[in-house]
Amino acid sequence: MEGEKTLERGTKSSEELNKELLGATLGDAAVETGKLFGEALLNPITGIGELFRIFF
Amino acid sequence: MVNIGQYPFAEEARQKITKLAELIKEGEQFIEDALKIVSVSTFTTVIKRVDPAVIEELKKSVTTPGLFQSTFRTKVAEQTVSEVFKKHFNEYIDKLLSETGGNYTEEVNKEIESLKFQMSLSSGLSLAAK
Repeated sequence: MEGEKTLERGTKSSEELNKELLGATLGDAAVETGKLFGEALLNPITGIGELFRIFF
Repeated sequence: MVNIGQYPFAEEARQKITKLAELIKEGEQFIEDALKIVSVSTFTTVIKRVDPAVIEELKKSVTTPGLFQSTFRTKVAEQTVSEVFKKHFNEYIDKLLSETGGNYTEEVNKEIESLKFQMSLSSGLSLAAK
């Protein structure tokens, strides 16, 4: 029928989406912190994956 | 890593993500990953925009997590962090809806959409260009 549009939404699993986004996010953070801080943020104590604790 | 206290908007985000997990029947791992995606994205965006002097201050404490956190908290305006955080949170919700929304009813999708933060119009931040 004309005039009625259905919003297209994907059917990826939320787990798969999070895995993709997390990989991209951590990769981007590694590149940017590498530029600004050198290798220091790859230190296991302040590792990239632990940066989120700054907010919580 | 030492926890030096929460940003108010971060606790609100945790509650929203917990509600989201309930809606789509996900568990603790989903919540942790979602919060990590939003938080690390926020950190990356913020440090690319702060004054170089702040980066120099942060560099001094990169191997001391508690000091790194407190330097970040005191040297970067909370309003800035809040606006960037909420923007990334809302982007995450939009991405979730577009990529996975076909798995849920329209009613659930509307509830997910309603979890987004209201953005302040007075922040003056230009977040479009990354």
